[in-house]
Amino acid sequence: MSARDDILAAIRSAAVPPAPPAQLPSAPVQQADGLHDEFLCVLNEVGGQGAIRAEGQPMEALLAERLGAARADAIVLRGRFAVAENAAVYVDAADLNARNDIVRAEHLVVIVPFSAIVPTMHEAMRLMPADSACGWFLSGPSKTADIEQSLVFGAQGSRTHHVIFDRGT
Amino acid sequence: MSAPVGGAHRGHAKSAAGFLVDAERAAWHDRSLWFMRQKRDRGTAIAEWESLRLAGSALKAHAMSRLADLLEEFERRATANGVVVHWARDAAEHNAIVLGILHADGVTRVSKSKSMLTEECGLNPFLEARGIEVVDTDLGERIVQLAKEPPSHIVIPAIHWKREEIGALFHRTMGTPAGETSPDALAAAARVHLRDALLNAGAGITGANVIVAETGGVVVCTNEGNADLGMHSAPIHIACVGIEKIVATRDDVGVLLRLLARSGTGQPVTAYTTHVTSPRPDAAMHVVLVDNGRTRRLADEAMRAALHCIRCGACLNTCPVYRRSGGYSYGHVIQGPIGAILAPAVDLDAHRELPFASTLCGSCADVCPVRIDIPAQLLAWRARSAAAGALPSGYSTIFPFLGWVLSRLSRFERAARWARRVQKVIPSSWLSGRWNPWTRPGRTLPVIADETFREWAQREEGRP
Amino acid sequence: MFNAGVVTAARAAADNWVRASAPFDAIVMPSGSCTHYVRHHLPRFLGSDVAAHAAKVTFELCEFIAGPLGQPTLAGRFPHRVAMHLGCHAQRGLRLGGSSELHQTVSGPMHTLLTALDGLTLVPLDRPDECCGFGGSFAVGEADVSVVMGRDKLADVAAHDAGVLVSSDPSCLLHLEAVAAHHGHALRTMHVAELLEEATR
Repeated sequence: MSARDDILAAIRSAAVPPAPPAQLPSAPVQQADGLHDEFLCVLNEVGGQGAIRAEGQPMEALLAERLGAARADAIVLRGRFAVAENAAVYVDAADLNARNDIVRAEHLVVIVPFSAIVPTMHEAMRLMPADSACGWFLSGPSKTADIEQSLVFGAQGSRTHHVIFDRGT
Repeated sequence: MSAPVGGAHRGHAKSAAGFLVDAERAAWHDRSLWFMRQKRDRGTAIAEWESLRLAGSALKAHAMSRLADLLEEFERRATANGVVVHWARDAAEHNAIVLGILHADGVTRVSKSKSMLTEECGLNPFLEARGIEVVDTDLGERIVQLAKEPPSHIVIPAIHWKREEIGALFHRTMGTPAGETSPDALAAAARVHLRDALLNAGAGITGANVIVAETGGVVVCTNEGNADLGMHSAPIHIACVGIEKIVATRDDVGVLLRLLARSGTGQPVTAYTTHVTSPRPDAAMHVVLVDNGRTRRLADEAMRAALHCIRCGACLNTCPVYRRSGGYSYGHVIQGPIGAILAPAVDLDAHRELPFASTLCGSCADVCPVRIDIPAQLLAWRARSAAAGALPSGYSTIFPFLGWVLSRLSRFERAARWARRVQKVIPSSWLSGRWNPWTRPGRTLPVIADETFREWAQREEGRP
Repeated sequence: MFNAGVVTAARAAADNWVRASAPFDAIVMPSGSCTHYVRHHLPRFLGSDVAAHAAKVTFELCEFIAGPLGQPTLAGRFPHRVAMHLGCHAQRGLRLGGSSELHQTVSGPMHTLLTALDGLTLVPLDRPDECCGFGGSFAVGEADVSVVMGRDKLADVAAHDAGVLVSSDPSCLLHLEAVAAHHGHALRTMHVAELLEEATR
């Protein structure tokens, strides 16, 4: 018998009684425009910076304004949608040149369509592409508090993290 | 450091006593962990928190009830996505499988992001003994790796290290300036030190916070991004995961992602949450599914719920005993309350003290994001210890005597009268000697009242 | 003994108690830990009707005063700064107080009774429901940790300038009194029954 067979047999002979699947909690209802406020507030708390690109405002100008000299060391990615409760943005590998783009750069910018925002991870998991080969929820810059609980950014990934809600698309 | 280097573990009580000798440091440790508990309290103060915990508990119980089917579903999908799925009955098989994958490609250096499962299997020493360099890339894991110590906390492995000590360690091992203690500078040095391994290792090993039957995917959560840098740079990604980490659906993942970071560190979510189902076109991805006692646990109804653990660390942070005794007092790869119910299954005799290293205060159960009733399992282990004759020393003589005295009123009253007499006659300094565990660490002997409540009540009877 | 897993010894004592408890309509225990044991463990442990009956009619003292006696508050006076320690069995076992882990504010029958007393100032603690460290056999088996937990609890009480520490659990009191006495704390430790008696004289 292979290890696989042994393990599966051992599990089945444990005869665990059936238990029903979980019921998702119903989250408090939120106003659609409140979501951006919540997102930006949480983003700030987790060390990220947010902005909204108005229609007509050139993206490069906005990026130059937000990043300054860091523009040269920044990677700009396309995010599919944002999650208000935890300031996460979903990025899919299909939209990247290289998977480690999300961690390689000193500075990371993720551009998300303005209307693509959901309240919680429950909605987010359903919005994730069903056939994604690889995807990420990114919330704020890379961080660690392993040295005496002291928060440090840029542990291995980006040191600064920017989310731009794009009204233009 | 207070890490035990070689030598037998002395049991929790003695180790804790040793930990507490440096009272100031112990108080600092307690405060650091309590700070984590406070962050957890703030991070979990969302309206639907308790219904999230119920959902977390339910989805885990559901997954355990369909474990075989879910693992087969996962294997089918993952394999169809180009992932190679391996099965390991125990730690030895797990290690051999990982070695086999590395040997097949002539890999001599691996980057590894935190995995308690690989700690459990002793993967690092196994690979190192066979000429493969393992670089742990979480900052905390790297600290204890450089110091040649085990982690003292499943989430914050170097919580017991002070910045001056880390500075000295980095000066020795990375060449940081002597006396450099700023966390920013030390972390920056670690970033550089670990970069090469992360970008250029022959393989990237990760754990998995969750694996998903519905997608065949592996979910890895980090704050540093080291798991991503490692797994997406190396030509080979190996994800090592205990079979109990599987959930049925993506919905279930959503629930756990709302529970995990809030409970462990108070953050709404980790900085990086990766859901990967297939390798890059030019790379290979392996998943090693590990049993190592989990199926035995599954068959043990009273203990089954321990498999629900998502390794968040909340129970460690809240436990008044863990905070004041440190991870090394537990003598096991997983520490704290969850460790105390996992370890006895590995070796009841060696870990006989762990279920007793608790006041059964219940705080752990109340912070557990998946509602594991840890005190119930601690009690169950105690009963099993007693039945197996494996109680901590002294318990097996004192308690039967106590039971005898308390099983009849007349015996209790006689015992009370005797105790009063003894206390009046024998000098308290004799009774409070170093041999007396009640008084030794700093308590006075209670004065036994002149009459029992019953005697008092009988005397008072009749008075208005 | 039950909590130490020594069930045979526990059974004899339990049987004795249950037999004595049979004729009563209500059993009031000035102890959260004993009440919790009777209510939550005894019925399954002994598996008898008598045990089930005992579980139904057993109450912790403050719970009894507020509940079956219908007196959530008592008129009385106790002009002191008081720190309240419910004890873990009353707190998380019987849910007789709001727990910090569950984001609840300090509350419950003992809290209501105390705060209703004239002149009583209930001090806020940094860690209002952390265990005091007694824990039964733990107090002896893990004596060092036990005493440090007790010292820390007393330090919290002292930091908030309380002159009185009140608890509904005699085991917690036994332990905290002994730690306080050894360290020379000028703190009066009282059981809630003693405090209520004094306040309502």
